[in-house]
Amino acid sequence: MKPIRLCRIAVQSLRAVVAHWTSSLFIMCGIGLGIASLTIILASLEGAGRYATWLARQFGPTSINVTSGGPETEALKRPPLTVTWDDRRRIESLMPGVRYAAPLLMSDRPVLRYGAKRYTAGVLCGVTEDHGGTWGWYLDQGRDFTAEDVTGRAGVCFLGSIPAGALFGSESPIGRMVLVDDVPFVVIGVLSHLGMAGGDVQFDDRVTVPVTTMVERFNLNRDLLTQLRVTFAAATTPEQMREHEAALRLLLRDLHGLKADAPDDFQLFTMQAIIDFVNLLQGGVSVFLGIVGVTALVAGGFAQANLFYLTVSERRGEIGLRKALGASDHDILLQFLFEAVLLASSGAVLGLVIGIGCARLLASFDVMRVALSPSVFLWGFVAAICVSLASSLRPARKAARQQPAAALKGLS
Amino acid sequence: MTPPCAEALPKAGAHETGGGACDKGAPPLIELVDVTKTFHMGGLATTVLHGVSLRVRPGDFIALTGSSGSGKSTLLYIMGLLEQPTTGTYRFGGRAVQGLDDDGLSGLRNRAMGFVFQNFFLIPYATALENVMLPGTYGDRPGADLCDRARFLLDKVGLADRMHHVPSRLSGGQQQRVALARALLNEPAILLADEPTGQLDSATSRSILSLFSRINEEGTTIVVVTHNAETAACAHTRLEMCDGLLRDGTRHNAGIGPDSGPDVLRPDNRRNGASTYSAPPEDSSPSGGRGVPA
Repeated sequence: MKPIRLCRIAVQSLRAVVAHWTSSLFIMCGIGLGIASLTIILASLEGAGRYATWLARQFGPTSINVTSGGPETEALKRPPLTVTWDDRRRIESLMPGVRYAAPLLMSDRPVLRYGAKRYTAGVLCGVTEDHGGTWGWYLDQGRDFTAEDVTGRAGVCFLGSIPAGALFGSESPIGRMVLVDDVPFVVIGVLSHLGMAGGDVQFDDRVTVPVTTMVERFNLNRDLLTQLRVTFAAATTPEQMREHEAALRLLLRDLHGLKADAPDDFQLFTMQAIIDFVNLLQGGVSVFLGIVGVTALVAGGFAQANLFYLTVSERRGEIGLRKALGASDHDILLQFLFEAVLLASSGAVLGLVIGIGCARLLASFDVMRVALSPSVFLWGFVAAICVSLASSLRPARKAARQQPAAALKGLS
Repeated sequence: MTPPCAEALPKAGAHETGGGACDKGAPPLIELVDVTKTFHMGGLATTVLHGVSLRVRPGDFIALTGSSGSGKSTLLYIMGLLEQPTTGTYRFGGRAVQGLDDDGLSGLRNRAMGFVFQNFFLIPYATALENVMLPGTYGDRPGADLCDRARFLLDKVGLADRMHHVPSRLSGGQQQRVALARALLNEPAILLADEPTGQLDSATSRSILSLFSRINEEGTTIVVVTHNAETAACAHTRLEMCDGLLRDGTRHNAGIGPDSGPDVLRPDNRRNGASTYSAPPEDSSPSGGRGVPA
């Protein structure tokens, strides 16, 4: 078929789509809503994937986190503290390749007060100097803790973005004094915003102080820690990391005096473990969300097939006329398929706009993370056009095969 | 003045038709031989045409009349290649059309035939000009050429000042003029009209009919199905359909020789003898006479 004829038929399709705008709109919406849900799903999966990658990079490929409490205590909100300052000293002195073991002590729900304002934060954290470098979590404003802050048990703190917002709104908290469980601290920094992490973990809802200050002012146990971050030399390979992990486990079991058949009273986390965990979670969720999205799209396809059948019977006269004027079966088929593609493309655009809007809205409420990549647009389009063509093929063939005389003779 | 062809052919066989512009020496444009048409609806077979033989010569202006259900529309749609005969042969321009596939049939409709319907069948969202250009969609003529031709035709049917109006802003007569211009876009060999004045008042009908006469005088063959006497009177030849058979409406027995010799169009006299006619030997023209514009 000559290109000019194809173009002319495509123009006829476009005009028909515009002229029958109500049914076109319904078909577009059917396809569009399917694409919208698919867009939201793809965007959230993409967002989760990027977050996992970011989290893993943040964590660092050469770090192992030691957390208090064995795997069986994971369900507890606050597992018993089993990791000690002594463990830290031993790890730093005994394990080869260790750059440092950074301690972290946590306690729940500190009450913050600033003037008349009062806010209960999620967690109070005690850390050592160089928070940014150690934990891969830098400050948005202010300065990091120094060795002097730690040794001198300085009354200084960082606020997470949530308490900073709750107490200070848009003004800068730097240099202001807040009361943390009635102990005065000067705010010297605000941690950068991390956003939602999943589950009920809110990283940003925290106050961080030097661990030495925390132990002394709040009169906490001087031996125990919540976590230790053991960081090895930057050049350590993944194979060596696995060996280090095994060695660290043996050392800790020895230090904790565990018998051969006793379970660990601590857990080790590596970047690989985080990636594996996120992948597992994401894999399951992807399948579920994928089914939901595809179902929505297929439902849209059925709606389109139904409406297309209606359209074809409504337009019997037009089809008959076109055949009388010299349209072949192919021409009619092509016209209807072009119409389907046009509807699918505009439905896809509509769906992408709705989907992106909803995804942004959800992201702005911190319900989920979204990321929009070109692949979202590509998949949206491809899916819409495939579903649309699949659902309109039969009605279009019905139109093409229609006997023109009956429609033209009848007073339709 | 050219005498009516039929009278110049005293031994007319199959329905020989002819009018003012009829070229009596030319081979037939349309030749139907013993055509039947049976419809199957819900297991029930209804025969609408019982064996019709007919010749349409270039330049003819034929009116097909008859009561509703007599099969005249079906005959027209068979002539227009919009329906296939159940049995019998159909030659258009000397070529058997039964062998043609869908592309061949639609191409022939596009190039050689123009249709006018009772309901006009204009595309409601397109302007008069776009409607007239519609057959161009399915042909190879360049757009500018089509546009010029469409403007010329709209001017010819008296709608030069309504070119950019959509059908809903045109009266019934004007809509039928647009449909007529559309039918003429590709300079068809034959114009097929199904009750073209069926929805028009008599004054409007008359103006449409005078256009038909003009178009015929300019050389286009016309077959019009009608049960309007005024419309039928306009044609040079009037054929009456009755119960699926042809009956000569104007020239009872004129030029019909029951024993006009051996012929391919020899009637099958098991049926009503009045419906088929034998052709004189000199008339069984060879295939591929006047070709249709290809």
